[in-house]
Amino acid sequence: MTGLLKWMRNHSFETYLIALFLVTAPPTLLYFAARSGLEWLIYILLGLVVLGNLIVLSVRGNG
Amino acid sequence: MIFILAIAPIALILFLMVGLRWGAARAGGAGYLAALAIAVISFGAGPQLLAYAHTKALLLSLDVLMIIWAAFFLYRVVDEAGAIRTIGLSLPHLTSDKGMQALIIGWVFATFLQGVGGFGVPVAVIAPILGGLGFAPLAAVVIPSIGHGWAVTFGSLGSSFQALIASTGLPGEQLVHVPALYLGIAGVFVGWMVAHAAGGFSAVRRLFWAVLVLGTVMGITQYLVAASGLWNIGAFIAGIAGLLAVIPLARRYRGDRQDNGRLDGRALLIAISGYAVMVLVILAVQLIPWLRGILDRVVLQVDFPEVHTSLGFITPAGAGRIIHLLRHTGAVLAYAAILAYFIYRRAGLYQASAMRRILSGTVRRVLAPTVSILSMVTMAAMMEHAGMTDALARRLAEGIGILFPFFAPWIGALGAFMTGSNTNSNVVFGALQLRTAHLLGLSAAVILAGQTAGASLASVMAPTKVVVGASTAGMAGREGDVMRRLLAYTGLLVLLISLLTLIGVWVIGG
Repeated sequence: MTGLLKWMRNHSFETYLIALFLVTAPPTLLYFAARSGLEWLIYILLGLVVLGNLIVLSVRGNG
Repeated sequence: MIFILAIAPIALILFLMVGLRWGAARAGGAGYLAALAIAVISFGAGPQLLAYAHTKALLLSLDVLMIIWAAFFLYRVVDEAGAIRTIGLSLPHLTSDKGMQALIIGWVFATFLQGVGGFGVPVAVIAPILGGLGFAPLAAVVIPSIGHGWAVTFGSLGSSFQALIASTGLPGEQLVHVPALYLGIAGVFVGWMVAHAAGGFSAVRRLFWAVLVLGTVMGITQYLVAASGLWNIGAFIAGIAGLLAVIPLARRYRGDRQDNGRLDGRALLIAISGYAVMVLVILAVQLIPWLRGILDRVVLQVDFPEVHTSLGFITPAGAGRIIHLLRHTGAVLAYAAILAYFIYRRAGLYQASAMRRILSGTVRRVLAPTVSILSMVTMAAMMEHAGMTDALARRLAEGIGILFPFFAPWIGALGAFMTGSNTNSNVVFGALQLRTAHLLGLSAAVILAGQTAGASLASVMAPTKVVVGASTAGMAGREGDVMRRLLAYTGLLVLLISLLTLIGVWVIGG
């Protein structure tokens, strides 16, 4: 875990790319999940967005 | 307790950015997580509501991000050609007075850019120019940030004012006069603040009359254009009037050096052609019906059903924001950037692999701001859908009663800070302000003028805009410093609007 955090701090560009994917891709699917009433899928997708924001919190310096 | 919970995510972002000097992306992430937890635990937001709020936020973010990406791209195209340096080197020929340079570029030119572009474009474009002229990075961001605030409501081709009309259902002719007047008055104070940011109180004293003349010219122009029904181009025409008025004024404030050297007119002409192309493309898209018709064919719009919290707060069904993908301001800026690239390339201003450097530079610059904007807009959307925004505004309105006119601009300002734009603030709070004005028997036109003018002036310190400005001036990660400086200027301007709104209510009555 410590190694992963260290990698993220040293690779802010790559980390932001991962975070960007996690905060943009799920919201597109969330619309269809909500339309279809798939609550389990909504929770998974929301979890990914939360993960994206948690990853951003780990990046110090720029941004 | 509800009020404290509702305001907690915004307070957290402010504390992290201003107090702990966190960057906007990290603070935005923290604000998002706080809003999500509070919306679920205390406001009864369910999975469906959260899902739709996230999708709506993605569309709202796309609306803003398209412009930011394109503005950065245009900036990189111009900068790679050395054009910004050329413009920067030619300005001292007009005046070597730093304060006057700040007024010309950071106020008048910023007004013009807000008129044609908006959405953070003035700061993104001007901050690097001021940096190139030798202004400190902090001043380079703060000056255009304050400088364009007065022009937001009638800038961006009138989108903010149009949002006020849409959210209240009142005719534009009824709404236009008071905010045009308030913002015109505020514009003069904005000029003095720009002078102060550039050179302290000595610059304010020295440039007092120059600001008064320029502010009066631009303010009256904006008022007359907007009041005549052309509110879409109010700030744009005001900016042009200011640029024309500034030429004779600059002669009176030439600075210490009487001889400012010989100007390379051809080089300057090629350098500014990038921005001239931008203006031409924007005007062409606005004024040529067949071109507009072609670009209007690709539309992104999503319908959202009614959702409600377990506490009974309802967000009615409705179509999400319509995005004309090919006619979007961001798309138009991208066309301008591509045209500018070919002009500069033909003029031989690029070295090998220029496009690769332009693209990689753009991606690296926009990545962190993109993430932070997504987090903050999603936070705002969740707060709106969960009833947190409504609870916040209602408590503010109910708690202050007869003094509501004084606080109406602060509600607008809060909305602009939260959502990142005057437009969104008007959408979120316009109807609420109108309802409260009716309940208290106050003039709706005056209260709504307070709303949009407060939002206009405070939108400059929305974290999303601060991120844009800071990143273009090499201040990424130091957004807290920028916000701290902007807080004082913006607070005074919103206070001015509060007093004007109080006076307006006394004069016009109910």
